[in-house]
Amino acid sequence: MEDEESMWKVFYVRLQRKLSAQSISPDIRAEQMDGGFFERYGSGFKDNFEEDTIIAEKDKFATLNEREISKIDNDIAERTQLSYKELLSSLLELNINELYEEVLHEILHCVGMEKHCLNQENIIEFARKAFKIEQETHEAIYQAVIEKEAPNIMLNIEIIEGKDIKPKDANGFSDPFCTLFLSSTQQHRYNTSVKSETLRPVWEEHFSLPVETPANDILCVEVWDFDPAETVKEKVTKVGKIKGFKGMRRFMKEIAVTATNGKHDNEIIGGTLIPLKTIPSRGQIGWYSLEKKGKGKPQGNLLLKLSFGSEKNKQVAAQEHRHLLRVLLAYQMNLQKPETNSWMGDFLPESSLIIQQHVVQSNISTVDECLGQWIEFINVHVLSPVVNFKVFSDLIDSLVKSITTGHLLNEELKMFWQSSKKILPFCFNAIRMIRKKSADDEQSLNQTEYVLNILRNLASLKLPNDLDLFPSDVYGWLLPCEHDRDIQSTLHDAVVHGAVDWHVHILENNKPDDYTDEGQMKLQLKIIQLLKLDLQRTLEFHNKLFIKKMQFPYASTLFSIYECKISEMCEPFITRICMNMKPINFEENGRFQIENDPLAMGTSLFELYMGIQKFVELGKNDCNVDLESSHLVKYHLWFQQGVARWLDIAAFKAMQRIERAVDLDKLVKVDISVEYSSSAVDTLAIFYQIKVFWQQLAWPDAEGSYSFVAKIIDDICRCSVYFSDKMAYKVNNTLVENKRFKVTKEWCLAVNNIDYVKQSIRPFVNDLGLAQLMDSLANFKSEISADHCKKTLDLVVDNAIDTVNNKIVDLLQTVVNKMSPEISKFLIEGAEVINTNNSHLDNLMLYLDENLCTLSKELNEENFQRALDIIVDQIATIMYNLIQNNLEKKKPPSYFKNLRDSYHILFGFLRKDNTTEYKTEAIQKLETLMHLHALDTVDLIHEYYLERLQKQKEMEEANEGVLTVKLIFINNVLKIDILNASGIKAMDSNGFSDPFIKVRLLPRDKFQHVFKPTTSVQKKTLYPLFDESFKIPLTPKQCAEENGLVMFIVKDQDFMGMTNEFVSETFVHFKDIPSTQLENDLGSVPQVRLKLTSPKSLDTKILRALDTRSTDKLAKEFLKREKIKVAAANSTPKK
Amino acid sequence: MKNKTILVKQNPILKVVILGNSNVGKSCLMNRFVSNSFSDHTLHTLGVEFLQKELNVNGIVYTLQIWDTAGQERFRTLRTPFYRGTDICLLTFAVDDVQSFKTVDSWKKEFLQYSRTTDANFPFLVVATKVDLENRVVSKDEANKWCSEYLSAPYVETSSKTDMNIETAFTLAVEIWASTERPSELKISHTNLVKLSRPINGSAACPTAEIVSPKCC
Ligand SMILES: Nc1nc2c(ncn2[C@@H]2O[C@H](COP(=O)(O)OP(=O)(O)OP(=O)(O)O)[C@@H](O)[C@H]2O)c(=O)[nH]1
Ligand SMILES: [Mg+2]
Repeated sequence: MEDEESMWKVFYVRLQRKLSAQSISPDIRAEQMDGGFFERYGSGFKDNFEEDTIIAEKDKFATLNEREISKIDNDIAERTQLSYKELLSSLLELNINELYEEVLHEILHCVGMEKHCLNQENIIEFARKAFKIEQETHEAIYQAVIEKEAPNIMLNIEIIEGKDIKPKDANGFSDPFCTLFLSSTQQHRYNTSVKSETLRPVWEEHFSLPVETPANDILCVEVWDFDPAETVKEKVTKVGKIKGFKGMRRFMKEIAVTATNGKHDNEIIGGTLIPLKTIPSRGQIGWYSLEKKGKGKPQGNLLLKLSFGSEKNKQVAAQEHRHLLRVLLAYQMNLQKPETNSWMGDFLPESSLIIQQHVVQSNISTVDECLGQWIEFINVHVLSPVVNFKVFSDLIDSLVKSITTGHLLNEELKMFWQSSKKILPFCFNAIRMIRKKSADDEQSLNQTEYVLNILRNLASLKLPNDLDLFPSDVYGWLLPCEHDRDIQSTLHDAVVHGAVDWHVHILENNKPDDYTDEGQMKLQLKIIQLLKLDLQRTLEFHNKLFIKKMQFPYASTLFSIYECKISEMCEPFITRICMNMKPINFEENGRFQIENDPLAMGTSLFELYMGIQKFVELGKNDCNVDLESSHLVKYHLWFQQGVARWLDIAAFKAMQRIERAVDLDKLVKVDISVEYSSSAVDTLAIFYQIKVFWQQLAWPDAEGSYSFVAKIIDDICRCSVYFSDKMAYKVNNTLVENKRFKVTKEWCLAVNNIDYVKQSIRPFVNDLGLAQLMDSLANFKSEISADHCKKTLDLVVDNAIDTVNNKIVDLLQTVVNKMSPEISKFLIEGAEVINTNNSHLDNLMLYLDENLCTLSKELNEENFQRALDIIVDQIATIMYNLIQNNLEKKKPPSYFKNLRDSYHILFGFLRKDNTTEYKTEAIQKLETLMHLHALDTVDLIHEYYLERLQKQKEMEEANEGVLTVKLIFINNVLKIDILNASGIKAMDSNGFSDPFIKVRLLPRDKFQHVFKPTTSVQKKTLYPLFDESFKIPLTPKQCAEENGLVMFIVKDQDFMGMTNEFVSETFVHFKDIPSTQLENDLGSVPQVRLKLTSPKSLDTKILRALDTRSTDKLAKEFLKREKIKVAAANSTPKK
Repeated sequence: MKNKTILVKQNPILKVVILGNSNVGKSCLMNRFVSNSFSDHTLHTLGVEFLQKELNVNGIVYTLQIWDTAGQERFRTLRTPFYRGTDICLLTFAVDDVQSFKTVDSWKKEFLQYSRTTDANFPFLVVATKVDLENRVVSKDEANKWCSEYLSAPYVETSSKTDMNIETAFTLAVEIWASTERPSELKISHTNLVKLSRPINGSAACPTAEIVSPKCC
């Protein structure tokens, strides 16, 4: 058989070919009668399923109305009770004029290189606008500022390290140290420590130099090679007495002081001059090369960190800074009016300069700067959510570092958390509203990542106990919670809330307009698909972020919410629908009718099933959800009743369609390359659709699958049988009852069709996934259960195949039956002519040959052999009947011989290439019959004796007595010792007999003139002792007689010694008699105990056959003798 | 031809369904009948199980296709599809289980509903199981009376453990079937299915030209 894969493939190609061929023909196709019932569930269903109107929905999805979103953000603003106005009034609280004065002062005493790049007047004007200071007030303040002293500015220097320092000492190294001073105050010199024997000194030492005139002054840094003078040397010798590291430091300083005071032999390596105006106010780090007078090349490089600072009170300055930020932000936001979440934290250049000057001149630390931004940016955001989450995300990254290292005062920490509290709702709302932007937009994806980063940072900190971070008026959507609120649990709630909102949104946008069950199902499917879409989106974009940042299983949380909603929505509904699916009712005419046709609904129902299935798979495969605990784990059970009903209906629909397909079949091959016609293809198409339906269902539970598969197989069996019946019926009706029946191609095609359908059963069953099914049964139940189930399915399949095979045999039989009249005609006529070369036999063979040619051409080998078998069988039956009829007519053996010869010729012809001789009951019966009737009477009689011997051997008990003899062939002499007999029948009224034995050799005609011994008579005994010995000389030919028999007849001598009565007899076959060449070997001849028998009835085949030969004298006489024996055997002893 | 398919005797086929509460011994009944075996420890049937066996009743050899069903409630939807096309229905209960006796009627109703049989004289046989047990609670008289008066179905007592009346029960079932008057059957019927047994160990069996006709004729 073809392997299944290619079988289906070939089948499918043919199906397609057939379909295209049929589209031209005006015939109504089989599948049109039920509106394509199977096509809806089979391939059609499969192909169309994905292309849903869902794409349109996706757009809707993406633009979840903006109104809703902005409404929510505005809500937050309202709830935080802040407005732009209030920001202004908050500014009034602090002394804005003072701050303004400070800012002006800083602008005037601008530090760093910016001073030369910007127009001071413009900056002042900018500040005035930002601070909303009237011109008059400004003049007054400005005047005051000019008179005010310059701020106390410090230059902060860190000498980090040096490299490529020129070696000065004999050892190839130097012992470098640095000296630094401002050119305006050269007497104030600062020295680093000495690093001995190195060209890569690392100092990392800090210095703060007060700057009087930052605009003109120059910083000088010189590197020297330390070479101590005598005095220094003296000091160095004290090294041994110094204790501890600090002591050493002090000691080295002293040496350095000594060195700088000029009393030394130190040699300068090089120096660098840095005008203060080249240093940006923000500060900078950089390499400076060391120059030396008279040397063109640099003498080495020095890494310096330079910045300005002030000595303001830290907290005052920080607060001032925040206020400054607030003023400038308010001004800038009002000016720019950025879009939501679009502001990236960039200030206007003027603001930037002012802020920078404030940082420098008020000595604002980085932490304070960050904290100030955190607080003020949040304030702005609360008013109008313009700040991009990246800004907050970056800020918190550095803030959290400072917090965890304890760089924040309690006061500052408190402010930090108060602001954090304000930004948190925005973060959570961003999560809740995650669906508002299309997810594949990179920007919004980034926003989510920043939001999560903010949350992650905050979650990493210890939350303050004295602050209610999650006030219920803001977090109305929080779910009840037993333990303490934290960021993680609130995130969970936000996600849940977002999902629930989304579900509500979907429901609101998909209100039912069609209240039929059908409409409901379509709607539910759509809702499920929308939820699935959301889940897919999540998996594609957000899930990884949530897990990475917050270890939060976003997708599986969503799944749990949605699966809950889905089961709430679907379970009661689907269960009701399935329970209400009406079973089929039969009508009087054998047709069936479906009340309230549930099939239209079937499609939607199974689409709904598939929808849920896909959703569940998504959860199982992609969300790592443990389905066992989910509501949907048993979703298929809601549909179970529906599937059962559907299969039931499908089976009957299939039969209906098969009937139609057979009706439409024109009994021509669908294709020259194949041997079957359209209805076989149609039938297989139905099977195929049922299979696809089942494969699509992918029923998740093994128990249910097993029962359904059993049902499907049983149905397929019934369909195949139904098809065979219909096919047989159709083709039998096409047979025209003409005189001479001829096998037609159509008829053969019918057999092939049935065979083709039969062959599809096993591949079909395999495609149902039996192997996997058995595996899962073995896993979930037990090996034994799986075994039971497998047995059942195998049996059902075997049964189906057997049954269809039988249908084929039936059909073959029908045709052979039609051939019978012709066959018997030839046989009857032929038998009458006593000549095997008669033309009747030739004619019969011609007739058979003609039909066999068609059969062998059209049928496959297997079915052809079957047909042959049936024909042979049929001929046997016909001949048997013929013989029986002619026996009554007392035909001579020659007649039967003639028949037998015809039979052999015929069978030789029919079975010419058949080596294994195989005989049916009919043939065996025929052969025995012919054998008997064709035999000559003499042979038939001997056949009778042989049969008697056979019976004698088969006898279990010797109830007619035993005769003990010795028999041996010595050369050509048969020597017989008759020893005794025992338990012979009593023939006389006295309870005894007067027995003697007669010996005869058979067949009689072969031993006509040989010695026929008889013993003496023993009187009145049932246990006669003879002890007589006889020698019968024979010819070698006689000795070699193949079926030679010795017959011993026990007779009773009657009173007068005239008519000796028959008592019993016994037979020995020649081949059971030993033979020897040596006379003296006789002693060793064994005794044989022969069971005595007698014929009980004349009603045996051979005697009956003899009886038909009424004209045969030999037969008549023989029968007469046997009749007497029977009479004697059945008689009771004489009186 | 290597694998010669040998034509063999085709018997009339009867579909028998065994119904009854879980644990009454349906599977044991079937196994005793088909394979003459019994086990004290059995597994619950999953959905359905199927076996077949030939049975000579009054000279006719029938092939009984026996569907043993799962009695547990959760299998309801899985077993009912198999009711259709049934010829004989055996309703079982265990004599040590009153509940199983009380539910016989509802089994009959379930069968009639799902088999959708239109035959008012459909052949049912009530089979009491486990009569070997000492702690019997449903008496023979009671059961007999109820069956004849209420269900008008014949009643037989069996024990799969001691092999009592097992073959008798199935024989009785076939006799009931044979004596039931049937309305002219629906066209779509499985009853003209015929069975072709495989030759056992390749030994040739004897053909007869006997063709089984549908039971409706
Ligand atoms: N004593 C006794 N026990 C029996 C007899 N028949 C069955 N049992 C026991 O009853 C129990 C249930 O038998 P099953 O045949 O599996 O029951 P079932 O009706 O098929 O049950 P389900 O498959 O669940 O519907 C087993 O423990 C059997 O050994 C019986 O004739 N006598
Ligand atoms: Mg069972």
